[in-house]
This record gives sequence, C-alpha cells and structure tokens, in this order.
Amino acid sequence: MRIKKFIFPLILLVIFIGVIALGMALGYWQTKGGRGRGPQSEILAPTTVSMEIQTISDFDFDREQSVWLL
Amino acid sequence: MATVTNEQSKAHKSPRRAIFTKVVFLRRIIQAVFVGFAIFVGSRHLWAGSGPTGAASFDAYCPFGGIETLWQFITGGVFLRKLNYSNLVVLAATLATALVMGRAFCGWICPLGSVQEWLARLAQRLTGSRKAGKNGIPWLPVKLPPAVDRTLRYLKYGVLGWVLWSSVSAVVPPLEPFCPYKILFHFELESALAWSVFIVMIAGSLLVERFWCRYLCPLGAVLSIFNKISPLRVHTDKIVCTDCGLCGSTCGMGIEDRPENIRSLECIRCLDCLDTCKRPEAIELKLG
Repeated sequence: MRIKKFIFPLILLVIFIGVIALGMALGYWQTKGGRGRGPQSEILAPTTVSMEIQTISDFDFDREQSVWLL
Repeated sequence: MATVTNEQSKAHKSPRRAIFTKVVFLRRIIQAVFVGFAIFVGSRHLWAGSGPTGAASFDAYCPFGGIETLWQFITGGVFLRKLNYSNLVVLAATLATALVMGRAFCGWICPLGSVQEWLARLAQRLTGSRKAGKNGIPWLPVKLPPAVDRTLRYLKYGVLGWVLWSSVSAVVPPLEPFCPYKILFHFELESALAWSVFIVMIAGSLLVERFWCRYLCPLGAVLSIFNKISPLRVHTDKIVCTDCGLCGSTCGMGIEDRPENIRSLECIRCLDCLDTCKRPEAIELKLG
C-alpha cells in the first residue's frame, strides 16, 4: 500500500509520543531515584578522594594526645 | 494569450516555495524541536542541579540507557546509576517506531544525529561551489573509500557488544563517560576525556556526514536490525528508475547504489531520496 511521504512523520510522532504518553499514564515515568541501586553498588561504588583521606586520617589521629601520628 | 503548461509553472516556482513540497522541510522542524528539548533538559539539570531537589539527570531521557540497564533490571529489578523507568519507556517508544519504520528514530528524532547532519551541511556550505574551484563540488564532508567505509560500519556492532557485556557487572552505564550525546547537550566539559570526545565528535561530523551514526552508534546498531523487518519502507520501482544515481549521491548515510540497497541496515528513513528523485514515481513509501 502506497503511503504519502508527509504522513510518514505523523505516524512516527504518533507512535513515539503515544508510547511515552502511555508509559506516563501507567505511572512508569520515573526519572529520579535510580542512583546507586545497582546490585554491586555497595561493593564497587567509587568513593571520593576526600572520603579515603578521611578514613586514613581517622586511623592516624591519636585522640588521647590530640596529635597526628603521621 | 499563451497558456502556461504544468512544466513551465513548475520551472517558475521559486526555490523558497519549492521547499514546502519537500518532506525535508518537515524533518528539519521536527529535528529542531527535539534538539531544543535536549538543550532544555541539559541546561535545566545544570541550573537546578542534581539530587532529590534538583532536576532529573540527562541520562534519564536516553533510550540507549534502557538497553544499558536492561540486563540488571531483568535479572535483579534494579537500575544502573542515574537510570530509571523513564529510560525503559523511551526505549519502548524507540523500539515501537523501529518495528514499524526501521531506523526512522535516527533520521528524525535523535538530537545527536541532527547536530551531526547540520555540521555536515555547514561544512558543505563552507567548502562549497564558491571555494572549491572549477567543478564546484564541496570537498567536505569527504567520502571514504568504499572498502574502508564498509569495514568501519561494523565498529558500531562491536561497541554494542562491549556495552552489553560491560552492563552485566556495571554500576554506572558503561557508555556514559564517552557518550557524545551527553557531552554535547549536558554542557559539562570538565574532564580531558569529555573535551576529547567533544572535539572528535565535532571534527568527525564536519569531515564525514553522520560519522557517529555510521560507525560508532550502538543504538543505531540495535535499530538497524529492524530495517529488515519493518513493514513501512522506501520502495524502488526498478522499471521506472533510470539508475541516475542522484539519490545515492545525496544520501546522508552514504548508501551506494540506493535502488539496490533500499533495505540496507544503514537507511535512516530520512526520505531525502524521495525529495531528490527527479521521477517521483520511481521511489515511493510503501506499507507491507
């Protein structure tokens, strides 16, 4: 069946926007909250440099004498 | 009084008016709308910031993000970092269009594809007839030797394979650090890697039209498979077609022998071939 070329973008937009609208209507349009929910995120999630320094610093600080051991 | 024939009236039609009879005019508008939306999403995230009170991540609107997180969603019901249900919804919409009309998403909707196309047009204009000497043929974008071009096109399937393999054990989307789509519209060029990707992307698009789509885009690799099964496709009437080669020479994806390769994996359904064909009945859109 022959289709007019100006109908083509109309079909495309109807399908594309229609499926997104359907997803929204069904409550699946969630754009936030996925952060750090990977199964291995607790093990492999990268830590910042400042967090690592803080961890090392906690070990090397003598709390009784209030001096750094490094 | 002399009567004006149809041919004469067509010949006198101004180029400005003739553009409205071409589907490319409509395509440019739709592309501009989606590029505008991508800029809006990217800049909103920049202004409002991230986190629970900020705007949604740019990644949350990417259809390829849906592919990257699909394995972990199916096996564990979780998402990779920055991704969510919205990625699956956009992926479903993209696959639905692909089921009916192949890689039309690449030719009409993808903002990255549009920017590449515009950069190629810019390069064409800058190196066009006035600057190219006697023959007037623009020297940019270049056409790579067919053998090299064909080989490079397989790279995108390799990129897709690598992303799928990495996504099994990934925490963040594997393509994210290198993704030109995000780098271009997220406006955060903070690392040397981001700058490198940005420069390669701009230079590549000026040199070869739709450089990323042709050689590297993993989403294009997924959608290309649908070109073989989608019912709505471009059809060539080989009896009417004179094999003039005009459609092939203007094809943005560089598909050679356009009439023979009408079901090519590379066709992005931009319909430029319908616009450029001098015999409109030779190339038509057909369903089934």
